[in-house]
Amino acid sequence: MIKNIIIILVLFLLVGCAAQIPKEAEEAFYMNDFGKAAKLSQPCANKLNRNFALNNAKLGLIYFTGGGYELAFSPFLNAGKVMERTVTSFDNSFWSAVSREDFKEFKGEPFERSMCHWYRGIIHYRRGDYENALAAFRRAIDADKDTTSKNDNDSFDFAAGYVMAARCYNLLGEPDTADTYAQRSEKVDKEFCYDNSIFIIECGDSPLKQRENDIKDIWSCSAFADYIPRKSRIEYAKIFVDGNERIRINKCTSTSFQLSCNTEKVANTIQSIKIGAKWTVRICAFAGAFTGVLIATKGTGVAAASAAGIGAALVAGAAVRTEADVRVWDLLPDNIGVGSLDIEPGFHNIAVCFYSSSNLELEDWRQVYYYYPIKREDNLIYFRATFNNFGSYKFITEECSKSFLESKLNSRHYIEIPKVNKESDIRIIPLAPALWKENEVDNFTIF
Amino acid sequence: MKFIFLFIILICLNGCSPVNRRMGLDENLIIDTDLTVSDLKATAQKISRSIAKSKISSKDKPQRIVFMEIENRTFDDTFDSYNLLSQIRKTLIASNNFEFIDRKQFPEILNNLSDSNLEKRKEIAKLMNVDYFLTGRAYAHSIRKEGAREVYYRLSFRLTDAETGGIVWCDDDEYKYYGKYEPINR
Repeated sequence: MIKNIIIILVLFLLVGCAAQIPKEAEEAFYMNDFGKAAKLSQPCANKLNRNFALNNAKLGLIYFTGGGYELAFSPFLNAGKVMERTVTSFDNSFWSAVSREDFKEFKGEPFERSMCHWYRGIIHYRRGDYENALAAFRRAIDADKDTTSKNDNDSFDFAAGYVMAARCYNLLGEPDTADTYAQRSEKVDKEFCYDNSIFIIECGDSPLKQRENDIKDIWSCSAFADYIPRKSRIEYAKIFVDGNERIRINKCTSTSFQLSCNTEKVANTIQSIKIGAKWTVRICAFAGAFTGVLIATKGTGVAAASAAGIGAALVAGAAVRTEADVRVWDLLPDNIGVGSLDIEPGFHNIAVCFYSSSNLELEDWRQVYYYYPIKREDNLIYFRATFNNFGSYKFITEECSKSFLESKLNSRHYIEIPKVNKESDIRIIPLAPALWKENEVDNFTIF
Repeated sequence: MKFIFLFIILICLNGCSPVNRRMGLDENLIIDTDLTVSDLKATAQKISRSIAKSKISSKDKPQRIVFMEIENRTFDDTFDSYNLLSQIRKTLIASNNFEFIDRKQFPEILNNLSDSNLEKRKEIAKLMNVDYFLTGRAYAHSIRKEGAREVYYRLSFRLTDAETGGIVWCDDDEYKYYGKYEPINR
């Protein structure tokens, strides 16, 4: 009997063993060691389990931030397919409803789904495939619709998605629809859709998710989770073209804000019911134990039977799992800023400077791109500004001559690359991803 | 005790169901809110029948058609429009009233047709002896509320006279899907 119970418990526990990408991979990501992060994440992302979408979304973002856009597409597509699926298996919803919430497959909060489609849209856009980019941006907007908040305008708050969809419509020769999309959100400037260069800046890190961890935890049985914001010093950015300040870029879409809009009423109700069940079982176990002790002290000789009853009640108590799902796509940025400019075609030096709330420039975060090629029709310039760990890696553009590089060697933007001795040392260099040769990045080749 | 055995047997049997089997082409075991292969097949048949019955259909002189593109305004960034067009082509060629120009034989000329102006198109049409251009648009609109999604699809097609630019035939097909997410959807 006891053996059988143990077997069931072991089987039950094994259900929760689907791996997420390791912590080392996330640490490597934050240290800009994208090659290492990708190598560590790949085995997890290939496994079909309940974390498939989450692992693929994370792997996609590792490749994307490292500039491996073509590599990033497939993981984002895999993740997106799962996140948008309305067909679910019985055990998927059953186990999460009666036990730990994270026994179900990860589908993400609406904002996580939006971001997955958003990145796919950006990849299509970079390829010049505006039709499919539009499809992905529209899906990103659609994924974010099922959220509610006090402000009616928030239903259109994925402003970055509207900007890019409007740009795609415009480039596909449908200016009227572009206008409609541009007008959907008050945060979108109409000019964003028509200037020849669009700047997208990602700042900060998205909130982490954590189970309630205080006195309330005893009563709530860890059934609810809180989002823990990660503070960023960056308040806004400015773009300088050839040394001249051209535009200030404010936050346009915020992860933290999006999460505050989401109200999963059904999930919270189910969690509350589970808390009730757990307490019922706990009380029953206590009553059973009390009765057992009473019977045993009266010397009726059924102490063993009552002990078995108490044991069964305790096992049942343990089986009612209430833990909230704390899986989160934590590699996302906290904010996305969008700005646009009309820049003369040709090569330009572009600097992005970041500022704190007290209007002081955060010099350590400055990024400078020399001889950035600007085309006449359309330019997408995408930055991620979350990193302060550039270490000894540099970025260069193909157009930079050796002498020019040497003259700039003292600048912190041009630091020597250490010699590569083994495969594990191979890294994708961050920054200026738009300038990388796609095939070189795909092969993890260092410039 | 019996319950425990039953539970264990059920767990074991879970892995015993056949995973792979042959399916009918029109059979859909998984219904999501995306267009299915059966939908696209049905649309291709409807559209090709409609073209075959139209006034331009002539047995005396088969009409020469070039595929242009199907504009993708769905939510699917992997939408394969070529597959749809090739199914239409198959049925139309079988009717003996139509001929299609193989784009792969003239990629440099035909692949740039979408971007060229009417005059340029006329020139190419004359050179290739093209009568009509076949184009289309796949549109989707979605409503998403309270854990459910409703998606409307419209697949519209048109034939444009290569010489005049006038639309000589058009038709469409529509679908609507409803999908509900699981109770805990995150």
